[in-house]
Amino acid sequence: MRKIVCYLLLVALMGIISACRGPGIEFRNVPLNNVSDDIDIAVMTPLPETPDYICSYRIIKPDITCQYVTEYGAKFGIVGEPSNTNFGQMTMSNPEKDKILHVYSETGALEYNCPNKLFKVNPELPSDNEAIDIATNFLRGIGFLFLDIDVENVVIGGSTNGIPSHLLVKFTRTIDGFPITGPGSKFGIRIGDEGEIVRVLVWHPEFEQAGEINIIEPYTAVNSLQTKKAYPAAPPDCKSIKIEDISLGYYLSSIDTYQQYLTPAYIFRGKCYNGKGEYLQDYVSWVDAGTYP
Amino acid sequence: MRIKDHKRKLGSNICMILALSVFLWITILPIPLLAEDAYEAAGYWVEEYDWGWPPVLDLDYTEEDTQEFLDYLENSGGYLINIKGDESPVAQIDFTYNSRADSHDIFWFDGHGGAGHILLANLEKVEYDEVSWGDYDLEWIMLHACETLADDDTGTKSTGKFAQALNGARLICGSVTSLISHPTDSYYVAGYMIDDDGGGADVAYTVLLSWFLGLDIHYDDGTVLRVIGEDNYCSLDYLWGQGGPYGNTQIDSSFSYWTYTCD
Repeated sequence: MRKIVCYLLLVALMGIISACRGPGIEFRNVPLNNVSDDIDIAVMTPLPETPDYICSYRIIKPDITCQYVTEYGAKFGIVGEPSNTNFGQMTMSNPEKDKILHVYSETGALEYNCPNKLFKVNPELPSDNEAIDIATNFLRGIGFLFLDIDVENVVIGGSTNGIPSHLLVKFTRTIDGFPITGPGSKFGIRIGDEGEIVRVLVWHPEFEQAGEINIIEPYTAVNSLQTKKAYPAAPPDCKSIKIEDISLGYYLSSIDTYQQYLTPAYIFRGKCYNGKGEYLQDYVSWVDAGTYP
Repeated sequence: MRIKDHKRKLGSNICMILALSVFLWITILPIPLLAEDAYEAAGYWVEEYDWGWPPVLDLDYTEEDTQEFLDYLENSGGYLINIKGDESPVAQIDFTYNSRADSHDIFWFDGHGGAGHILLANLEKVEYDEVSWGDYDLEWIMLHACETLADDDTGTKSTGKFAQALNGARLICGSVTSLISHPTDSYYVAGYMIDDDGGGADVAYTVLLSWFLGLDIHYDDGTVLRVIGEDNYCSLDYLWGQGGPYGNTQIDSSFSYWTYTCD
């Protein structure tokens, strides 16, 4: 009898532990896109110190209704009926069709465009600091100036014949001190002629804590990168990569597909060189940092 | 007398045949004309590359991506899809002078590439100086491959690469940095180009913006895209059926280019 009670207690205890440790195989891992075998990858930076585990977060899937889209449309100055496009967006536009809002049905990400103003020739662009002010005030106005976002940088977002057409103010979101990263990490405001907002692409998913997840050691992640198990692959002309920065963050894959959990990932940043040692392009790659039962 | 009758009969038969021919010519002619007038699209992809050194990685989603593009244009844009599939062997000749690529209004390529070239399955390069696009029908070509337009930022054709291939084609869409093989990149590019609800809230974007915004969805801020065109007005082109090209272009020694950094 005592053995049975002990066994039941053990089973219950294991259940509690596994529940605390999060949902295991339901995590979405960083995809693999093997790097070509003939590329040398050198790490030029010390490995970061990382914790043994970090919090796991489940993304709350938004309910995208007509009312949801209409409310955001009003914030962008667009009034009217939204329509469903064939490619997973709900769309609103003003009568002149020069202000368009797309809402991604799977994730709730917002995309606002002024198509005629993105590549205006010889625009009068604000300074970087002015652009940051414009972007920040705009986000405050639409209720998107969240406490967990910070300005990352200001870059030339688009150019015509080499002359800047608009600026891109990029924001980064951090959770528990770790940045959100990956192709799904979208939080950018583009500013064109005379400081006008010409494009907005923002996704700020809501999430809830779902236990903790063990993190692999940085050298294990480096080993994965050097044994060509990383995402994405380098371009074909690339013959060597020098890694200059390694950090830990949460990976989001895409704004058009619902992702159940934020995926812990090591971020490798560096530069690609061709066979002659000439710089080709900046390199960023991700390696899944979680260990899953 | 009998010979005269025969001659008359033969004459009237010939007249009848001629009249019938003219009738058939008039009635049947519009069908091939209509087919030629329809907007046409095509696409090629390379998924598996031949073995070579250095090795070239296969690409997982090039077929899916190309098919998505052509399906969207066919179903929502009313385009006629003449070449749909991996009609192997895809050879240089399909892209070079008087090529099959050039006999369509819009063309999609999905595979590996580099500055000034695309790479075929047999590891043969199609170089910028081997192609001439726009000789026939081609308005827009989309090269979903790495770095194809990396060197096209001078504005003068002789110092660019793919810019030299502009021979009547209006826009070549490509990238400065690497792209990944993604199954739905093309789906969004096509989706932006086409107004899905005809007069409702949806809007057709220009070909140029559709390339930039469609790809921006799946790429991070390290990705830089580029489009080159015969002149500045080509940036205002819409797809045929959505507004069409903006004005006529003059082929000359200069070109325009637009560069876009993803979010």
